[in-house]
Amino acid sequence: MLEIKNLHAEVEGKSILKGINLTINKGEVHAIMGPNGSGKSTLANVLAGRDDYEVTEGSIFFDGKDISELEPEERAGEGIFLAFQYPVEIPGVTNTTFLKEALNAQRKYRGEEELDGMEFVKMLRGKTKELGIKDDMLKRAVNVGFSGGEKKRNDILQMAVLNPKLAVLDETDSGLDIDALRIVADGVNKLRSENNAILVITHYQRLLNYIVPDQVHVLAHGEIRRSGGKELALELEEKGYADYSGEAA
Amino acid sequence: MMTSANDQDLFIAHFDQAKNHLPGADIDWLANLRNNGLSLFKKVGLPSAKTELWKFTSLNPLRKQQFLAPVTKAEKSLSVTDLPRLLDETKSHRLVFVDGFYSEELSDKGLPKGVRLQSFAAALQSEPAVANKLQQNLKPRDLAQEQPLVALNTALMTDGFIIEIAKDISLDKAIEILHFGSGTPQSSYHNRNVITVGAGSKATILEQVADRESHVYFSNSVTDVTLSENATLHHYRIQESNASAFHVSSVQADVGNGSSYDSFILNTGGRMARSDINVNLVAPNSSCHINGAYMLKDDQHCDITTRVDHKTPHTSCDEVIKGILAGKSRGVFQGKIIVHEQAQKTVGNQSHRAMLLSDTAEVDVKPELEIFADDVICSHGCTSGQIDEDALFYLRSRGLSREQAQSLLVNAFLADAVEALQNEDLKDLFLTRIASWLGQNPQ
Ligand SMILES: Nc1ncnc2c1ncn2[C@@H]1O[C@H](COP(=O)(O)OP(=O)(O)OP(=O)(O)O)[C@@H](O)[C@H]1O
Ligand SMILES: [Mg+2]
Repeated sequence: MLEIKNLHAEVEGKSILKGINLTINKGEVHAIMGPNGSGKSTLANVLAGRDDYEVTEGSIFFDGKDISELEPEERAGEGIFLAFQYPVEIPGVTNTTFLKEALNAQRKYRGEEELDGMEFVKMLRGKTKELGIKDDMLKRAVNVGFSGGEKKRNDILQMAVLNPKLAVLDETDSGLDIDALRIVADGVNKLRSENNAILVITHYQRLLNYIVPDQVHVLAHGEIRRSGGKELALELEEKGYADYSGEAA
Repeated sequence: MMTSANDQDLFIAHFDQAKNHLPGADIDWLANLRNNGLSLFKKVGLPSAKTELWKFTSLNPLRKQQFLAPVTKAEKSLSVTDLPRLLDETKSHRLVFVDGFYSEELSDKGLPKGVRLQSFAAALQSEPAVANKLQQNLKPRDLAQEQPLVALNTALMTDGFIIEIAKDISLDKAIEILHFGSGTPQSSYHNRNVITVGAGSKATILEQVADRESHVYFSNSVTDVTLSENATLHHYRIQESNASAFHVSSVQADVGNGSSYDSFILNTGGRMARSDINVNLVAPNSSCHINGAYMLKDDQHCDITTRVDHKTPHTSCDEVIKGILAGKSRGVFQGKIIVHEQAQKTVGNQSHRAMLLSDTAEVDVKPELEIFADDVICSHGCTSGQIDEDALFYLRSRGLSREQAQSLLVNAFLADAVEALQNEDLKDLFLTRIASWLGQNPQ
């Protein structure tokens, strides 16, 4: 589903990603761990199409299609979703309005019929219930005045509504209390199917108890230095990143 | 640099050409008033970069024009169907002015109860009692230095609307005034308007400035507002003329005991639009709102200059102005709050926020607080900045196009100001205006 080859990216002339290779198949869950500043969020943003980051080499194929020239909204339409490490506040735009516009924009992109107000609200109600999100949060402006954990949960709500093929979760677990962590993990597991894939970026092995990955990768200095099964996360938790601290030869 | 003598010549010539045609030529007090206005204007000239209150707004583009004297009514024939209208007949009673002159044919017939509506010219032709009342309601301004255009208006007052609302009247319809440019190039006019609201009365007055086609003209209007006790006036204006027009307007409102002057201005049109709004809170428990929004693109220039005088204890004012600027447009906000010595317990809040959609747009602001009383709550804040790129990316990453995302953000930014409107129809109308402006994707 996702095939990243020799991906190099820079920001403001500074090279951050230095040849990432990563393949995620349908139905798989992958986790990326790695030291602060190693390029995890950069990778996530590059996937979502943020134009501050310049791809200087390599390719990104999604469902067999080269997406590296697509606009962020086109990638969303193709089915890529990024839960942000720092979800953004959008004053004056209510959650409901935003979700409806976003969903319909994506449906339009895919040539599907847009949902009318009634259908949408019904679907939304179902999702909020599953995620334990209070209705009044829907009427509030997107993320404005939300606590850190509420913002993360709100991103997961967006994911649930948009039902992407590939969800990239950038530290969605940080700042969540234990109950919220379970709710978010449940939300993610609901999305999990043989047609979807999930890429989880996290610092904590704990999340991976709930969302069990097929593969774990260590990203350090802009490269994937090691890949393994879920037990790699346990090893990292124990030993830290000392083994990966050196610059590439 | 141009000398001020050159500046004045054109308008002084207008006075000579127009003086025998101006309404009320045979009324002595009026002749005096006009002459005073003229001599002051002669002395001071058009505002220049040296005029403190005009330092951000240049009249140079206006100086280059060869406007015609405000002498004759437009010849162009218009029918009501040619005219835009804010609210339909069931919701408003409308007066129409074409190129500055009142048009009886185009205005609605019949009168709301308890209201006297008249054109300035007609009021001066009425019995002396009516004409003399007008004299009282034309407010003496501090015409010195800062207000040469009010002086020019006083010399050349051509026509305008007079609205007098009796006491204890609650108007169920709004009074709507359309100032329409018929397409006469280089026309100029100086309307003088008077609004008085009697004790205990409530009214909504809507003004719309619009025109039929692109043409250069100059309107310089002055409006004198007086609210007696426990009165409420919602004074909402929309200026959406073509992008070659010049508009200068000055409102002065005196607000009586327990009364409220609630104003909103939506400015999207004109090459240059300057709005002065001066409110005097002259009695306890008087209050005002000075709200507004502007949307500019290309070479447009919009200047909103306000001054609120808190003159007695227990008065309050809220001021929220928001601007969106695209292209090479320029926005100016100058807001002065003066809390006089005896005005204890004053509450005054002011804010101006601008969002720039291009690197070439510019905003100049000058907030000023002058506080001479000690027990007051006053605040002011001005911010301006580019559209939030993080927010744009966030929205786009969810599937919205750049245009959709931008328009959602800008709309949210402005809608917040429009929320202050106390009229649902108008709120919808203004939101539609904002949406259609955004629909053109100004860059
Ligand atoms: N817009 C930017 N301008 C300059 N430097 C940037 C920018 N974005 C990222 N960087 C730099 O790129 C490097 C990688 O950042 P990134 O956010 O991808 O790290 P990360 O692995 O997600 O770290 P963390 O675990 O702390 O979230 C850092 O050194 C960071 O300072
Ligand atoms: Mg990160």
